[in-house]
Amino acid sequence: MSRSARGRLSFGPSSLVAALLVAGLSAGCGPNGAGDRDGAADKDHRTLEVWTPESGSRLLLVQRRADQFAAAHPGVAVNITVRDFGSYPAQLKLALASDRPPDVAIGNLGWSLDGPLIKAGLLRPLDAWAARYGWDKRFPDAARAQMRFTTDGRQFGRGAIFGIPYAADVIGWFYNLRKLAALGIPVPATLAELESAFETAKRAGEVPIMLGNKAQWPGLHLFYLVSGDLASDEEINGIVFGDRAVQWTSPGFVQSVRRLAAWNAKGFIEAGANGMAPADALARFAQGSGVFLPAGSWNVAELSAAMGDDVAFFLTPPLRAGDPRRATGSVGYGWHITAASRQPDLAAEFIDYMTRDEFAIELVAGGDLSPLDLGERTPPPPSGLAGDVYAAWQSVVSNGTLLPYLEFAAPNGAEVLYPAMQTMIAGRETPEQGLARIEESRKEFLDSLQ
Amino acid sequence: MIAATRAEKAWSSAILSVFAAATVLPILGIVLLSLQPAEAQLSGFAWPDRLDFGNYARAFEVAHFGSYLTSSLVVSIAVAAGTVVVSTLAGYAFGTMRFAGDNLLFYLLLTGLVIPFEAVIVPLYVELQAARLTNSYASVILPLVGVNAAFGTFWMRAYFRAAPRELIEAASLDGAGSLRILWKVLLPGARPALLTLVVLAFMWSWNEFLLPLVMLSREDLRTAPLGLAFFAGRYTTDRVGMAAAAVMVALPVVALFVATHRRFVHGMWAGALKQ
Amino acid sequence: MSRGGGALPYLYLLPAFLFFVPFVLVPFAHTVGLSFYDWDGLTQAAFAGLDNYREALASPLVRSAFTHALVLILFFGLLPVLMALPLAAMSARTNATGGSALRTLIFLPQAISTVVVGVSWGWILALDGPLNTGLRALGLDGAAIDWLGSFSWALPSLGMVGAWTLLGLCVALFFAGLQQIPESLYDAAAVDGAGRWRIFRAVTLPGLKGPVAVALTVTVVSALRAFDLVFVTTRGGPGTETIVPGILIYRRAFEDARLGSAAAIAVILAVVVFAATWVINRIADRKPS
Repeated sequence: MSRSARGRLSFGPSSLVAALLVAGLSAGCGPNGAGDRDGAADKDHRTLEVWTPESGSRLLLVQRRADQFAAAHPGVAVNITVRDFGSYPAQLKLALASDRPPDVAIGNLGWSLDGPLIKAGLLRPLDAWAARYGWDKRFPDAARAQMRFTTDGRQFGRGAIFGIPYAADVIGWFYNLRKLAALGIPVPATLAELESAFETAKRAGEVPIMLGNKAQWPGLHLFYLVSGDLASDEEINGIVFGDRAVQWTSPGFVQSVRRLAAWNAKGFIEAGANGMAPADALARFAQGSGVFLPAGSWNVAELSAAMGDDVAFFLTPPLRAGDPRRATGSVGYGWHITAASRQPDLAAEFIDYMTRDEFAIELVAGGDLSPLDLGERTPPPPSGLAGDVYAAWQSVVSNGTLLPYLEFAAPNGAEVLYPAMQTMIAGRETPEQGLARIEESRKEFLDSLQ
Repeated sequence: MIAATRAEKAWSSAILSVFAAATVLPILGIVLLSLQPAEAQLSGFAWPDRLDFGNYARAFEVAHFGSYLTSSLVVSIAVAAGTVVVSTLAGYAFGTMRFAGDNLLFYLLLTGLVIPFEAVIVPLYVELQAARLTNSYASVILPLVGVNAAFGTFWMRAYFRAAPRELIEAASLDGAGSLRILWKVLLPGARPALLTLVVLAFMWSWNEFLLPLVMLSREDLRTAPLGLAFFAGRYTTDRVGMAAAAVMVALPVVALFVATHRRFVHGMWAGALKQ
Repeated sequence: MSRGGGALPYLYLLPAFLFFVPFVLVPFAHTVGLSFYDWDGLTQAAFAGLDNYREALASPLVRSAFTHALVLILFFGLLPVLMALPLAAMSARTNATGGSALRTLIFLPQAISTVVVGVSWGWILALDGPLNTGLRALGLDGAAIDWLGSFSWALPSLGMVGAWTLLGLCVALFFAGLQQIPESLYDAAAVDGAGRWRIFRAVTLPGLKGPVAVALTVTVVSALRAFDLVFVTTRGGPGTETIVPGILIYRRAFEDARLGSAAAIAVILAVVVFAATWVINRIADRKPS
């Protein structure tokens, strides 16, 4: 999952130190994690340094809650640094390596960000605090694996708890209800019906699938909407959790890519997708272009504001009518405590505060998703669309059909995975060729973990 | 040269005009786009019904362009000033004095003309990060002066080499020190060369993208091209806003260029071709 | 040339080198050193010998990055130079009215930041942008494609943008160069009875060797570097069709945390740039036959 955003930054001013660096050929010395730091903060005034890639309404919520935390703890201040999602991984890594690292940081699941950080020893295992605050009990089973990593950073899904999530997401289809009605298409109940809906829309001159794939990852999200139906749990989990017996070239993935390429060849996907930014596609869909929009649940607020009752959401219909729907999603990225933090207990207190029910209630009241099961305390959804999204999330969680993001499997999606998806969907490469390349890149990565 | 016939002149003007028009058309299109009202869904070059400067106002208020432009101004002026000073001094030495290793040092400096920034940016970032200089204007100004010093020295050296020897000798016979000679004798005549260098250094540092991209992640320090790139990336649907932002980023340098172009062009080509 | 008094010349050089050495030369040396290591920017680096180079030379992605740069060289360098020669010659010969103004206009794109150029052309070349609107108005609907989103046309489109940017520089250089060719050469050729084409080949072209070398150097280096334009328009897409070395270096260093590999590619890029510059200037320095 990715978003593009930009937020305000707060960063101490740097001093003008004499800059004559005669570094010579001493390449290869990495900057050390812990420099000599100035004396510990006095006990009356402590500042918690927090890093997050959030944006939009989620960021506002986080900031509000952080303010409440500071208010509830006299003498404590919370300083939040925001970086846009795209540059966040690189920036966070460098901040962690500097001599003023943050105490708390949001990561991203699996190998996309957490793995490298854990392997480098930059994050703390949280089991002790998890026991104390009951974190491991809070989350549904589906979530628990995604919070874990072995402390050597080699295996995802097992081992110690490293991240505590606070906002969930699921990938599905937003669709224009008014257009469906106008085209006389009933809401599809099987994959085949979905495809014939595309067909009907196309013939009527509409854009069946609105997509903005300039950033290249939306194509992967579209893939998830198909692989949920055509690939098996073993295949998906095998890739995500690093099982070498499973490969990208396995039949489920090949079929999924082939299906997408076929959709593209039939003209179901927006013609200008490769040159269109995701935000553009979203805006166009909101303005009435396109019948279906494959996108993440976090877009609820924007779409319901723009389209009101004209828009609805569902997950990819199953192969057979009535089967439980499968979808890719996650409990969301988690809060971590950094290894370099001098105030881990305060950090843990903060994390607990940020992941409690009260926060979840506010989140859901705004139409977003929480990884927690709030039971009766669940606030009513603010719009019909939010209701759809919520129901979809609940169904995959209770059916146990929540699938992890394949991106979690390796840190460098932008290099091979995303472009290859784009190339395969366009038919410039056969599924076998593209998936073989992805597998090769994955194999190199797995080898590097040894 | 065989004199050009009237017909040739006419053809020549026509063809040049076509190319000039083709070059300018995209620029004009963007300027016109920036003056369209915000809700306009534009798909072509169109003359706006009324000139709406609202997009510029929006870029200033919503997208912090005032801050970006200020940052760019600070950086570009500092770099231009720094470049001129160090290049004049070094060019003077290379151009008028002989000393051990002068050729070697000169060629060493010249490598700066061909070293691509991409080959320098990674360790530069690591070093400046370690020195806690990233996210400061210095992290952009210092390297840019360094890179420009190569071209600037080359440039000023060419000028000083071409300066009449007799002037220098006469002055030194009169007992003037080297600095005096530089200041009183050579610099006054160096105005075209200096102006060209100032304009080029200002232009190059204003338009520099990769270096600030890597060094400046603080919002309030971002330079104009950086601001534009992120603005365009974030508000992808706000095309008129993007156009206004683009115009604002390009305008100062274009204005500087147009204002000085006669002297600048003259100075530049004369200098470039002396090599 | 005065004999430098002791340390004095070095003092004059000091300021320039004070900036150049630590901020350009040393980091470059550092890059070369870094290219022999495996480093993620966080943990201790591991010596990797020539691995990064081996991987780079074998990697299809790196090879296509350089191939794309080569394509850009044709568009950024060869095309403007070829177009500028006749334009400059025409302008110089006829000294048409307003020539200076026209040449200034053609030069204007040089003064514009590449980010502005990229953002602007991104709009112009969009599927519903002005170029396609114009093509459709001319009845050429089939040609109105998503230029920057097309696997086949994205790179050439960027190439044309580069040509647009650099044409004016070449025209200005050649025009000035033409002014420098002594009249006497032309007169002599005319006396010999040489026709227009012969004069162009025997007098004009050789006289322009210097400016052509400068123009090619600037444009070729521009093409090899080409980071800004790609970053702001396609970021290397669609697929990997517009990946250029600069983008690869940035991505590997700052997004993938493979700093050693990024350094190796940067060194290869620097070598290619050095080589191209050297070749161009050697050819230009050859004595005319």
